[in-house]
Amino acid sequence: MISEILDNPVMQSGIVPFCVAAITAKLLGYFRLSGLAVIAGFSATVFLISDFDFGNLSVVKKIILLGLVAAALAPMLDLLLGKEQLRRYVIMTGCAGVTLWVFDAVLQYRDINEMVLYSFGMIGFIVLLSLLMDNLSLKPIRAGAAGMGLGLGVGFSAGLSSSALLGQLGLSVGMAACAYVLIHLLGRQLLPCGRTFTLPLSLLSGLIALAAVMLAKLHWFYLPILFIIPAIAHAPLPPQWSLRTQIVVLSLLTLISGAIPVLLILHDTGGLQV
Amino acid sequence: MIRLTVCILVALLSSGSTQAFAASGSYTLDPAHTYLHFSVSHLGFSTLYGRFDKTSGKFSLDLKAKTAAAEVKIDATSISTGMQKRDEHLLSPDFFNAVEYPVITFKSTTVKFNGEVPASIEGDLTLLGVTRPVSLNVTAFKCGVNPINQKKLCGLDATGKIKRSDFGMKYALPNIGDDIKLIISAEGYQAQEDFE
Repeated sequence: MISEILDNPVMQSGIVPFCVAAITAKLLGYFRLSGLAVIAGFSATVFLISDFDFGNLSVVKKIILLGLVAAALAPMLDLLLGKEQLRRYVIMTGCAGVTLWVFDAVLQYRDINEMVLYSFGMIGFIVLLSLLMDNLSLKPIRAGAAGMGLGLGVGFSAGLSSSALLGQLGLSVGMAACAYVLIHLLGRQLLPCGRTFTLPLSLLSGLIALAAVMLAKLHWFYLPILFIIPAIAHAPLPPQWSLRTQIVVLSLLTLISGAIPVLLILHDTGGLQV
Repeated sequence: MIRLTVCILVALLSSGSTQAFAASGSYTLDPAHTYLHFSVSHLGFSTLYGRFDKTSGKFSLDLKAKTAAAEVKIDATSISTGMQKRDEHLLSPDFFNAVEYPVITFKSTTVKFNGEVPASIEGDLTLLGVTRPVSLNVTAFKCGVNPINQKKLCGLDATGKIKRSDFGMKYALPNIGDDIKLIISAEGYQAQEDFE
């Protein structure tokens, strides 16, 4: 009975990551590690639909591994590197390097011109997305709203592009961020965020979107639309607005932005068929 | 009357020369008559059938010495289940991940004979970068001369079973079945040098 319930995709990439992220954010808030909610929710989905066997490292397995490593290394960035500028450089260089590592097996099937073009395009996408999200790392509500829009936008886009697996992984990130936002909404107090939240979130969302382009049927021109989501999460809001109002407005803005590529893809294609 | 009987006998013998010629040597698979079919349970309601349209490979055979070996490459992108949208999904990372792993290979390790006929083929199947042993039962086998083009030809039908999870293809388990039935039909023409 329980296994039947857990076999349901809505449970796997919606309810379970949401609940796990909510519990994690609340419990680890005491240790200022609420940001780990995203990777906790994502891991729950991986556990249900895939596994943590990293013996044969496919693109998807590399993305899962990187999400875990990013969450583990994110606190180290603040602890070990003194200057903010240096941290930014490390994030940019690291994101560029891991992007090439994730897609090296796919890139080697392309001719040299395509390989160079794809490499620069993918690196540019991941680095810019990571920097946009990194700017929100000290703003929990904005980071949470951006993560929600980004995760759900990437998840639905990837799902409609022929890969339900990538779709579910993306959705789990969005639902975990959704739980993080909802705790703010209900609790009316700010939870710690930091790079433990933004770094794995941006890496996972960005790499899942790229995987949908490289391995499934997602057209590359939907990717730049995703920049709107973290960008709009920077939108200035009247300071007199209550925390709750700010959360609702930011969430609506990012969700609408996330819906743009999804609606465009839905218009172009017709969904997924198993 | 005797002449007529002799004529009939000669005709019967020549038409029935299935394994009459020394079926030994190396053979190149005929892609027009070599297909890997598969079937899988769809949510437990029905069975979905599909096949791979592009294969290549070779095999060697010596029926008298009872030895054989085969190497087959299957183009994963040539999957066909009769519906393009489903094929695209099957090619995605959810299942065959064909961009990353475009080729499925099979290399025989042991061929067991029943008399002068191959009865089973054991070998290594590499799918999604994972290699696992697979056993195929030969259900039909025939060597002879193709009456159309007069070339020496051997063909077989074989069946086998794998679990897709053994190869790391775990998406949508158990809704989309784990047990995959393989149905293989293959033909190969004797290589030109073996005639000389």
